[in-house]
Amino acid sequence: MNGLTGEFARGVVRENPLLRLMIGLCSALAVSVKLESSLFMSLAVIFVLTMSNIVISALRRVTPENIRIPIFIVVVSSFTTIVDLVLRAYFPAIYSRLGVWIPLIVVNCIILGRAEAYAYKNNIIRSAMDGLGMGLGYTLVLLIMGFVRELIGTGAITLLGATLIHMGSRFEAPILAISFPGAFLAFGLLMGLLNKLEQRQRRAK
Amino acid sequence: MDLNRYFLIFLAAFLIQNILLIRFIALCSFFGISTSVETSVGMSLAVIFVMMVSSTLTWALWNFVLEPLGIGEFLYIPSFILVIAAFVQLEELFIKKTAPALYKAMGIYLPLITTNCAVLAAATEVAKPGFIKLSVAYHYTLPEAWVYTFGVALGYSAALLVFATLRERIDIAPVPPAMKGYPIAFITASLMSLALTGFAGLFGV
Amino acid sequence: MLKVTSSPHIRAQENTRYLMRWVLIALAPSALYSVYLIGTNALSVILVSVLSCLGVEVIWHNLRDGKHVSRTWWELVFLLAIPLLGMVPALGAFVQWIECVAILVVLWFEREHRFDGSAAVTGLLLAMVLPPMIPWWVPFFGAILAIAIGKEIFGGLGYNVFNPALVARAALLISWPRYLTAGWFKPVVDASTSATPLVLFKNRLGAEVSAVYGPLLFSNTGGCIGEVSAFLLLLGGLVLAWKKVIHVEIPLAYLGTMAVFAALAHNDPIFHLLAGGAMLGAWFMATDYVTSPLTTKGRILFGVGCGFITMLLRLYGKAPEGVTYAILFMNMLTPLIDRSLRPRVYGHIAKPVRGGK
Repeated sequence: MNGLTGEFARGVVRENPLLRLMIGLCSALAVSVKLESSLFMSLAVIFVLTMSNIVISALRRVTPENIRIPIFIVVVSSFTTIVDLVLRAYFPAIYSRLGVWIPLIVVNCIILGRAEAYAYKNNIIRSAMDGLGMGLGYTLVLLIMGFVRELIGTGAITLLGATLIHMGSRFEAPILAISFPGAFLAFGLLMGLLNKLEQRQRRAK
Repeated sequence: MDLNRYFLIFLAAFLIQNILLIRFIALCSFFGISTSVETSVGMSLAVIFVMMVSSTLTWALWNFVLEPLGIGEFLYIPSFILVIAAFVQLEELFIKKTAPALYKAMGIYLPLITTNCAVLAAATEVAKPGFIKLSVAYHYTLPEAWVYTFGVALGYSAALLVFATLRERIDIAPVPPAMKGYPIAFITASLMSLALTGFAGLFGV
Repeated sequence: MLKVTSSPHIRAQENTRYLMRWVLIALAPSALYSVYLIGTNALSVILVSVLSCLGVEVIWHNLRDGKHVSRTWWELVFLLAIPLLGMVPALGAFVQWIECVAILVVLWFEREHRFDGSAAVTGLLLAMVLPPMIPWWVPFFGAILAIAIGKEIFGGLGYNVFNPALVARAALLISWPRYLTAGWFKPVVDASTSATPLVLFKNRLGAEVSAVYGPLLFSNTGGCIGEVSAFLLLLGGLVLAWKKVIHVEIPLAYLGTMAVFAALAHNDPIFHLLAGGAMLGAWFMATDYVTSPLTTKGRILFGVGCGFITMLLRLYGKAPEGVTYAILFMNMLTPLIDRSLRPRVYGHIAKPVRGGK
């Protein structure tokens, strides 16, 4: 047992929810069209994931086995509703861009999956670390995807109205990168690239 | 109500706004289930059935309870997902008792459906139009809700079935080692999505 | 890495070379005629497209098989760096020729590589579905997409699910729509609008349309490179059918369905058969062995589906043309068609439904 940092690191790399466990894909592909929406979506997921992991872990002794799924769902949907209302009140522009993906956090497989597989069986602190780690793993992939797709597909990166990077007017951005097929393509290539790196690392050992 | 409108709603839900390939909803099951044609067919049947009933339930819940009482905006997420979860559980028990053969065919898929985002997405769209950005409808009557849901469910099933047959072929191909498995599945999904983008704007949808 | 292939693969490659040679021969008159009518622009698009496809194939195969790895990486960097020369104002107009020469040099270094001819066919087909006045780097990136994403990533020729040239065209159409929907050489019909005949005559009736039969057959310079002459394409298609290189039921079902659909929708069937990419698509793209069904019945269904979707998109869609998406869509359904029309094995009983894992 290598302690809490192990719980934390596991979600980021070895059991990365998107690249290894293949869960939570829908929102990742859809919102990674822009760095900004990736960032806000990640924050929302980290919040809901960690909070619901904590609450479910705290309630695990009083939760009857048979109706645990509905109870998980009530907990997760409460936090999702909080995020939904907060974003709508304070960040209406971002809320409208994220659209359906905020309410759909309820059925994001990462959250229910971790509740069932981890938080229901472990103590509060460990569950919180697991939630943070998994959330960070999700964030990392989303930010990479959002950065690459926005940069290639629009030729610039903008965050909260400020242009961070601009490729210059000679760059003719291929819209493919920010289109629907481009999302699948970028994700498939990213996975292939990581597999390649992993193979190389294994061979080097 | 003219037939034309039904046709357009169906076409949009089935093909042009295909829930999996264009709207990126329910991708976890798309990649997870499509490993064999038989499981895809089983899952599709279960999804069609559950979707039709849960959309009817959420449509009624929204129009007769949540909307008149004015509590829809902050209760729709928990109430819809609970309705779906409860219905799926009841249905599982019911089918197990009354139709063991059917249960054997689609029973194992039922628990998975609770967290299938497509069910929640379609059920929410018919209650709160505009949830999935669809240009056709502003308010769904019950028959329209059925047509819409059936289109979504059939679009889901068709995409799943086609993807499963493609994957059967790809599994035996000498794909580069780093791309084997999920990465090449994503590339295939990307090209499927590419083929569907050409249908955008058909009949003005 | 040990590569396991089925035993008669040298014969299979010879067979592929034979088929691909005939496809190139059948396409040559149309390609040469468009160069004659349009000039250097058409030539540059064709050359860039074909050579880039060959170059990408060589580089991919070398890296895959671990042959001359470091040399191949240098070649890759070299070829990808040349488009950056376009930044230099004095060189801007010649970059495509520099790139062509550079690819030729690379191909000379890799002269022991045995091509099966499929990359050349893909390149030529890609060039023929692009407008002639397109910036040269569009076919260059298109060739990379066609060979890398359309074909090699699936395991190479014989394993690709979609037609590589059409994958590239669809991806380019999303990426740079303004280049793909303009850049026609000289509109035949009405010089003031610079539109293809299909754009002009969307949803019109027979009488006025028949005026463009002649140009469409022999001298349509208002379209993609491959659309200059429906007559030459038809001739090439018939040659392929005569040499048994293609299965003739696909184009017949394709074009027949289009004609019936057009007639039923009160459009001019002959116009729709001659205009746009119908001839090229039906004879050269839909007939690709790898991406079309295995049985005759399946191929007829495939052709009917292509024709139906083409006309649906032409008449009721947003864009004037639908051949690309129709064929890609039916490529997607090909394994399903094969599976459902598979000859039944004698004594085989329907599979019991398996409870999955």
